[in-house]
Amino acid sequence: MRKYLIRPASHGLDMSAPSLHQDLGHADWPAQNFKISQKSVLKRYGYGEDRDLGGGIDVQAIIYYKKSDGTIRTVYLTPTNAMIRESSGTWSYINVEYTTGTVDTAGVSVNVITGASTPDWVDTGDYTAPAIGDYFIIDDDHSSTAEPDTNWGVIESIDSDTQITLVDAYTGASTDGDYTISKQYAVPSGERWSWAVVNDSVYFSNGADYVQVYTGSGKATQLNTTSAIKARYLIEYANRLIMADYGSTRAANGLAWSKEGDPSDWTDTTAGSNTFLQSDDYITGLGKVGGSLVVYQRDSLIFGQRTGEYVAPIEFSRTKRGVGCIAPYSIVDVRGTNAFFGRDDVYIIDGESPYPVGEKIRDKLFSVATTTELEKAYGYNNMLQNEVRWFVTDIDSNRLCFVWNYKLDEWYYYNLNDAMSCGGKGQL
Amino acid sequence: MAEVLSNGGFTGSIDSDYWTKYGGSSRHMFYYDATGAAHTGGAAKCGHTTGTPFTTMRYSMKQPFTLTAAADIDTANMDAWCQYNDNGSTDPEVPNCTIQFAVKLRDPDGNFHNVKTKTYNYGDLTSITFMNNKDVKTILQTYGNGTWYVHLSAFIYRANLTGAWLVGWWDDISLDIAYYDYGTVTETITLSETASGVGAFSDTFTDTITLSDSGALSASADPAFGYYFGSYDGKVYFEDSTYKSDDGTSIDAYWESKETDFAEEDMQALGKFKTIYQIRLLYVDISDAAATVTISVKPDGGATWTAITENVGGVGDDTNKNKDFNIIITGNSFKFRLQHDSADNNFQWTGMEVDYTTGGDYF
Repeated sequence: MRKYLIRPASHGLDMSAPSLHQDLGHADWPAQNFKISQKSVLKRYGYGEDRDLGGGIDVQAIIYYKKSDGTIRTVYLTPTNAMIRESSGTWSYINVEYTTGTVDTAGVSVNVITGASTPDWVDTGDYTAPAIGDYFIIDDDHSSTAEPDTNWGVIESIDSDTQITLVDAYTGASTDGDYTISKQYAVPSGERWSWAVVNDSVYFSNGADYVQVYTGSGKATQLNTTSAIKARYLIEYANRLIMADYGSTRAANGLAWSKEGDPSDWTDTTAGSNTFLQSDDYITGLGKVGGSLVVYQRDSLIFGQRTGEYVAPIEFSRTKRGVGCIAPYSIVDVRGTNAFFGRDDVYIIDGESPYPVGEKIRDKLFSVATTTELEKAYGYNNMLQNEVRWFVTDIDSNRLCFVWNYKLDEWYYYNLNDAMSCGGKGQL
Repeated sequence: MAEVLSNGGFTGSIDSDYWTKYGGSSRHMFYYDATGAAHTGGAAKCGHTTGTPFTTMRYSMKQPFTLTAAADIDTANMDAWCQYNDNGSTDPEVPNCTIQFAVKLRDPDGNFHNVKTKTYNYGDLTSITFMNNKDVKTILQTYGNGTWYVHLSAFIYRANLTGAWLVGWWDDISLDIAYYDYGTVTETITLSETASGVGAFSDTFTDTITLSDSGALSASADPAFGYYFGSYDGKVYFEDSTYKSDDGTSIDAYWESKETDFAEEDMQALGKFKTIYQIRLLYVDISDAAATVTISVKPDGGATWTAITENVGGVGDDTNKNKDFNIIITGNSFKFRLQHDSADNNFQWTGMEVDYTTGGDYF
């Protein structure tokens, strides 16, 4: 009797054709839901429900927000809302709110809400004014420990300075008093939030709203309604907040930096901007690799370095053409560099050169999804398991999870029971 | 030994004084049950009777206790009993329903630490010693003095239930802490010094130092974090090694080999018919319940897998073992698949050994 050995079982997926020289332990597609650990094959971890935010809500980002005083919160972002989870376990919305004046006609079964004490609900051009789709509640009916509180009503129309109409009749018992209108954000379809934790605050932005800042108390506010508008990409670099692809008139090749140490000031002498004149391409993301700021374009990488000069803090003198990032939300920090989706492979940056790491699975990855879907891929680094996970929607609208174990350089495929929209680090 | 929890035996005061209920909604909270306990006295009961299927009903409650001398803890142990039952309905979905009991400690920084989590399948009334002398000293000492909370949870997964009801009870919860008895040591040290030189002089001083033994320590650790998923339907999920399923749904894990004619290891097998007689699976026994494992073989690029299923392991002693799968199949080249589809346990394997003989030329 002869023996054929597959031992040890120490490899993940490899789509290469089988060959005499290939390690026997590589797995073939559609092997799924396993990981490699210490030269053995393990079933991947499962998961359990932590919170139900309500049907139809797409969770886009999970942010571990720790302040220098030791307080920790987890920030959750959806296309319309921002929420925090305190260490005590309570949840609350931190959307910008409008609370001017009071209401004097509300209550159960009332659609039309009448204001008092000059709520001034109509204010064209003012982002903070109430708008269709925002949420209304009377404060006496609001329980912050029961979010999403069932008494929130959606605004159907802003009829006048003293009248708004809800889509459905108000469900709270109160008829008058202080109220809250929670502003809804409007992340563009197919896009996501970008965020950065800078100077003990969380900054988050998208291509439709003002850049928001949350300091750890109260609600989020507009960072700067003159300068910080519709920034698709945010990052911290050189002790400044950097934004790219921004502006009321979109500057797809524009990048700006705030005053040193003060992300709210964009006009100081130490603040500034740069427009990349390589206009056959456009910015698709920001990253940091070592001491460099990386500006991603679809087919190029632009590297920025600190100059040490107060008024011209960053210089962009090196461009590597031929490989770029087609999927802004695929950019992931891993071991001091970035991993991201290029047009033809998955890359990391080694020094200032792109290095492909996806050879074992790239044919499968680039065949299951269209270019449009790949451009929407989302990735995050699970440092506890040494895995970068990328979520990709295939041509049949199934949500696939390709996993790269960067410690072992092995690839896996996780078929999760639920369609996941994001992943991230949060407090326990 | 001091019992630091109040009313872990549940005498009718769940709503006040001691335990604070949270989670779920007004319909889904623990409530006092005078007769539902396996032991003398009452219990904290939770249950599902109606509602939408495919939902996990979450019941939780918590009780604070204060530590002021964590470093002096000698022993700290927890006990807990639980029960679960369905109403004996012939609803076909009952065996697919589960209840997960969990005990966690929350430290003064607000971070949770799992003491024990276990999921059970519904069936007849079952009483369980959930924990007996579970050691929690390390957790308490690592995160130190302050206000702690004991959190008890019961998550009932209702599958596609239509007619039956599902209930669970917590009963006789205790946390017992004993502290070291330090003495005081008093010691007198006399210091003296003499200096001499030109114009000789001497200088002598004495000092008395009292030593008292104290174990006061303060330990601080970085706040713990974990990783979460967000879904398209508004759910946030916590991913962790303690979960063996995807929120109650089994994880179908399988590893599939490349097509091989064994020539990588045995050149004499090249171009020959082979007959496989046995596959030996090498694994690590990591689960305290046997894992159902299926090994399948497919010859010559065909469409049909031949499968053998066995129960593997179940001791949970983390030792290396093997299990033979007897299968007879003939071909030139083969693919192998190893599958483990479960919501209740993990499985870890380290290799396969395929026993075969060669035959005539393959044509």
